[in-house]
Amino acid sequence: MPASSELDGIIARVALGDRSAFRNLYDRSSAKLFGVVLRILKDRHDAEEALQDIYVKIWQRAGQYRPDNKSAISWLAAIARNHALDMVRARRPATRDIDAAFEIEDDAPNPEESAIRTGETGRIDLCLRKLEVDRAEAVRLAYLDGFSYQDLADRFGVPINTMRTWLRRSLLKLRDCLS
Amino acid sequence: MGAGPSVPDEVLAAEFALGLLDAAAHQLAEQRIISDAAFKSKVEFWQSHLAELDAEVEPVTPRPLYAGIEARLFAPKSASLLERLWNDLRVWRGVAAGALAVAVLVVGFAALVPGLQTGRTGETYVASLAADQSEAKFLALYDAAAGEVRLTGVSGESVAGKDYELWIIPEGKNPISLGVVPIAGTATIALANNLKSYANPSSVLAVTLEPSGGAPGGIPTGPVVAAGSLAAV
Repeated sequence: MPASSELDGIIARVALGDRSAFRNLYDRSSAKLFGVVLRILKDRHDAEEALQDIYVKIWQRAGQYRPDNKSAISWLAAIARNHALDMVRARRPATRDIDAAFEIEDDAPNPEESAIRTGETGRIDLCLRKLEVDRAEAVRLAYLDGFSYQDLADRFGVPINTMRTWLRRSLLKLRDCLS
Repeated sequence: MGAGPSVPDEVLAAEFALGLLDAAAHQLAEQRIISDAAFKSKVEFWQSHLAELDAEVEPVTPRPLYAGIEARLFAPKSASLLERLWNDLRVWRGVAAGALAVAVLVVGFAALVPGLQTGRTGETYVASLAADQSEAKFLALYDAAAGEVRLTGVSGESVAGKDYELWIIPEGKNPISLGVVPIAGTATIALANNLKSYANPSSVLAVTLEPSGGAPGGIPTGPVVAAGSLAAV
């Protein structure tokens, strides 16, 4: 990825309607954003359609980007990810939250730590490693692969309500670690 | 997902940021972000931490798509006219925002526009209308007391078989035609009563080049040759 400050300048020029800057932005960011949407949508054709819509949005929203809030690539990735998730959500049937009750009691803690991603240094990575491997994986599957609770329940072979309770509890732990 | 009342906001914010909420709940959460600053900051907490996971996504080169994107944004037929109009206006708005430009225009304007008197009651707004890659430039003045827009062509040529047409574009609304206008000289356009409330700084005036007699169907079809937002004098 190009240096973030460099992307900041390019986005600023895009906001002023500079088409050559937009081309430059596309060249520098499209593979990353395509990676983001392909991982969520799984289908190459769908992902290509989505990517075009995403760059139309980026052109239109470039003026809203504020470099002090987040890095340029995070801002771009968020637009891509939200667009892909909107597509996935639109296809999904509405879920019924049968277990509106949020059960907080803990089940067998088995703090087997994930040592797989040793290259990562981010805070979230450190905190995810403190969760059980399965649960950290569930967070990643939701964020990076656009898994729904139902998808996660299927993947881990548990009822959806169990999945919810599981993940919500993990999210609270994660929050405490991140804070 | 009707996340029950017993789901803490921290968890709801995380579920929103992860994309786990279904369409209806997601939409509800989006509305809450707008109205509830505490919830918004919880969501942002998660979004900023989760964004670190973006680094785990491997880049994948898509097939060449740029031409299609460019066509959708910039080619005359492929993007909807409204979309292009907004893009053009957005660019122009940024450029034209300077108060200096407005001040210079107003000084020059009184001399150009007959019938403009200072000291009359009612708001007065001016707009300078221009666009990239277009020679056509106009000055517009809205005199609320008279309920009239006075438009003066400053530069640009008439085009055989075409007419310039003036539009007012209220924020978030479709362009509304104010009729065909001359490129040279001044036109006075009385605003219909239902349009007067749109004559304010949130609206944009734009001129498009249309078939002779104006855009058929009251929807702009030609290129935006000049545009600018209204500013109070």
